[in-house]
Amino acid sequence: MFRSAWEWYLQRVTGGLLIVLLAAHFWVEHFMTAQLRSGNLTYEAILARISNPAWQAIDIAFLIIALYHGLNGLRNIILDYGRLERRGVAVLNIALVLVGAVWAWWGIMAFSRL
Amino acid sequence: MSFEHLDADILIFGAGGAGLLAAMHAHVEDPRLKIVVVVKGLLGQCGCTRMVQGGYNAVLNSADSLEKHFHDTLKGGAYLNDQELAWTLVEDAPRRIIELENQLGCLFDRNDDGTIHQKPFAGQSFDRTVHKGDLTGIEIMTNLRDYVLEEDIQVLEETRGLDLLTRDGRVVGALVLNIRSGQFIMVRSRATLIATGGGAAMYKISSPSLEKSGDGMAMAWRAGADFVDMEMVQFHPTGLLVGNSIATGGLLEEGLRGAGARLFNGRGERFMSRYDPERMERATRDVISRSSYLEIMAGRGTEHGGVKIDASHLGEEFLLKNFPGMVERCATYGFDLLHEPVEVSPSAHYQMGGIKIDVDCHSNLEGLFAAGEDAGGVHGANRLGGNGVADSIVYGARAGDSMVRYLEGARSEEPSEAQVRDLAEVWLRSLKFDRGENAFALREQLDNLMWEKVGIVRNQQGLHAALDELSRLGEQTRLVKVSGDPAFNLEWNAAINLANLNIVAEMVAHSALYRRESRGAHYRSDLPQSDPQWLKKILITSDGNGGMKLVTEPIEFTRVTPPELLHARVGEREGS
Amino acid sequence: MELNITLRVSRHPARNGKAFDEFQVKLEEKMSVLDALFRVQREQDSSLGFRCSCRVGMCGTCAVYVNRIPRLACSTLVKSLESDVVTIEPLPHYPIVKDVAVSLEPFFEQWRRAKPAFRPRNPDSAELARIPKDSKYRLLTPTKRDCITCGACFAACSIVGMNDHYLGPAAINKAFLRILDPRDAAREERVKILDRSLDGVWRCHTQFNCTAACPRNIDVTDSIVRIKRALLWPGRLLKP
Ligand SMILES: Cc1cc2nc3c(=O)[nH]c(=O)nc-3n(C[C@H](O)[C@H](O)[C@H](O)COP(=O)(O)OP(=O)(O)OC[C@H]3O[C@@H](n4cnc5c(N)ncnc54)[C@H](O)[C@@H]3O)c2cc1C
Ligand code: SF4
Ligand code: FES
Repeated sequence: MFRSAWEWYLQRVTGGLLIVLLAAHFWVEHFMTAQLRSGNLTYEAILARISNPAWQAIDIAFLIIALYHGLNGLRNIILDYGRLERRGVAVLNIALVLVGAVWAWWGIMAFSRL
Repeated sequence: MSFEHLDADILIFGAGGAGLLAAMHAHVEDPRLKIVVVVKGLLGQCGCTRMVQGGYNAVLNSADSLEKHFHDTLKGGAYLNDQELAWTLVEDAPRRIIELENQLGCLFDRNDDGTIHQKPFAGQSFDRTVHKGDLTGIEIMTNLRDYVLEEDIQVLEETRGLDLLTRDGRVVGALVLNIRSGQFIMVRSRATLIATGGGAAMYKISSPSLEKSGDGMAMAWRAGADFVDMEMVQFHPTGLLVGNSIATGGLLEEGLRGAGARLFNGRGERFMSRYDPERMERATRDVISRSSYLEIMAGRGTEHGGVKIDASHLGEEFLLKNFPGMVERCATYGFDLLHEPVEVSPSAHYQMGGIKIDVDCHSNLEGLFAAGEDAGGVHGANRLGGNGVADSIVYGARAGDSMVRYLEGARSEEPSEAQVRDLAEVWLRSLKFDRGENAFALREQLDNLMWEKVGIVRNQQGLHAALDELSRLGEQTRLVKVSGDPAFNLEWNAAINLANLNIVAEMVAHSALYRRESRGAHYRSDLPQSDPQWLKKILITSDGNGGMKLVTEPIEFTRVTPPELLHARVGEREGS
Repeated sequence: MELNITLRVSRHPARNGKAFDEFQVKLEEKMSVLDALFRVQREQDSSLGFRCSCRVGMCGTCAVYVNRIPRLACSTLVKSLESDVVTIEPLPHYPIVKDVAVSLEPFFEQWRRAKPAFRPRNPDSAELARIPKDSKYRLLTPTKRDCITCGACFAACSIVGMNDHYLGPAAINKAFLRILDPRDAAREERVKILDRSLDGVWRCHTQFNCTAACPRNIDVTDSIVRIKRALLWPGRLLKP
């Protein structure tokens, strides 16, 4: 596969995954929690869930997928407008990768403070 | 008055098949040469090569032979052809097809097994016309254009040649007009090629692209070139009739008749049985056009003064597969080629005559070359369908090679600024008048005059009258007034076109009057027979005072003796 | 039957301060937009600037905006527009030369970038290549090779309108033809150009504007989509 084809492909795949993940996210956050239904939602209950390594893995994947989709989507919009030259695109790429990396790092680090 | 200056080793006028093949060959031969192509329209998107429908004749099948193609060409040309030119056409045509495919990327239609498909065309003893559907010209010109775009060949688009610059009988450059900006350019060149594709547009009903106006021929004439066969103008039998629309004269391609389409007059009679019962609709163009014309003139035409072509019996499926472009073209104007007869008329199509050249495209002037429709002698008195684009490709390539060879010994000479200034002054005059003649109106008069008096059927009286009128038109043309400024001024360009067409028209009329017989496309109602005495060329040269001098020149029958001469000789012997 | 229409023609540079001129034109039933322009030029205003060459839909030089749709002037019958007022403007996305004649330079700049010239595998072969009936080239390209570079698709494409760098529909179609051609040797090079994220096929939003505009009915979008697919699964198309 070619480079930009990969970018395009991942955009579709992350898009597909986001539909699933977002739905799941909303469900889990707002409806599913047993305590929520019984009316006594506690800090400990939430903490227990996000300390679970499986949940952490899902959340980190979610974060990375959302970041790719969002930032690449932003990049697509910027490219569509065609105001950038080759060098500009290179700078944009680096900037977006940096933003993504910092953001991802920041998100992942949040778990370490648990 | 200011000029831009440009230097070129090779200067090419015209970007049809001939012009671009020449550019390509010269560039391949010696990539260091500075090649400048001047083209009146957009690169690859003007001229008649672009409009070729039917295809390109070449011997590619082992059951066919160069001799057969050669004989067909001579027979079609009523043996008036320069035999060396015709032989070279036939001999080079297959090579150039291979070059178009293998080097430029054209792909012509194939049989099911992947071998090349060749279709029947009128006047041919073998099905040898190579084609891409029924829009062959697009395939050729697109690929040629793509080549030129990527190579180091300078192209000046929407720029037209105005006049050649000469020094002691040598062509040393040209005065050129950038149509868009209105700016003159003085080009110095060591070798110059004329490939602007003839002036058949000087007839009321005609098929060539609209920008063509005999410019190259007129430029060459003013510079002192010799012309041959100028009386020979081909009329294509099936031009569309769309009232007074500019589309009238646009063609339905010859392959339709090759495939079996029939012609009917206004009364529904299949009139070709009267004129050529053997070949019927597959007779050569001259015969069909004349027959249609005579039918129309005898009052047996259709409502709009034409005849009808009927292809409906060939079947919807066959037509859609083989002639989609023609079906679509008819549909554009509301005609249904699939199911109904469509009204057509003969349409002025091609000039067999032109600048006299040898097989290496030299004209009689040093430094000046000609190829394609602007050159004369290859097709004799009538061109076979499919030999036209072959001619432009074959001789374009030869011109490119030949110019490179010529350059080895050629010096570069500085054109005289004074000459440039004088010439430009002449062209600018019409922009300065306060009042005067209208270029469009005069052009209409010219087109009608040529159609009526120097057209498909001619006679002495009409030709005399035509010459008188042409000289009057020439006078009026000098008084044309154009408004506006020089930039993208279509009216001014129409005036320049008119001046050039007048010259070409005069050559045609003079030559037609001079040939006292009928032969091929040249038909004299007062002299309807061919006369073996007239198996010779008419050469037009300058009389030294800007006038035309006509002389006959014998044809060298280097390869084949025409049957009519054989008979005549047998007759002589029997008589004595 | 005769047609009487009002022809509104965009003027550039503006004349007497007006961006449009209006002409009352009488036409025959089968006359085209090009005929209408000629009528105006010959009878009312000889300074009108427009372009044409073949007048039968083959050269691709006469494309203009007709009632805001890109069309070939020579192949559009006025009657078919079913409107008493016909507005002619230059194609968008191009610099104007005069009135409704534009310069196709931006189009050809992209066309050139797509490396349109053939790169022969066997330049010196003395034989014509055998292209079997079921080869992709023969199956997919015949109608697509009839592109007349009229520039209508480029004018219709909204991405071209936003993005000066984008190759545009016709240039991609051209590259598609060369890539599919078994005789062409520059497949890799071409593919790389098409894959560029800044200006290659991935900028296409599959809006079908090009296909809708093409006077030769070329399914340009199909070519673009096929290229995208080929970039995703190179084996499917790019292997000879
Ligand atoms: C509708 C049509 C269909 C045809 N079909 C067939 C066919 O099926 N088979 C066949 O063999 N032949 C066919 N022909 C004939 C064939 O097209 C010509 O014989 C051949 O293409 C001529 O090529 P050329 O290069 O000499 O001229 P063209 O291709 O006509 O090119 C002339 C070029 O010169 C340019 N030019 C004109 N004036 C100037 C100037 N002053 N300065 C600079 N440039 C100028 C023009 O813009 C153009 O680019 C057809 C012709 C027409 C009109
Ligand atoms: S693809 Fe169609 S619209 Fe685009 S330039 Fe070619 S012919 Fe014109
Ligand atoms: S004039 Fe050639 S396409 Fe319209």
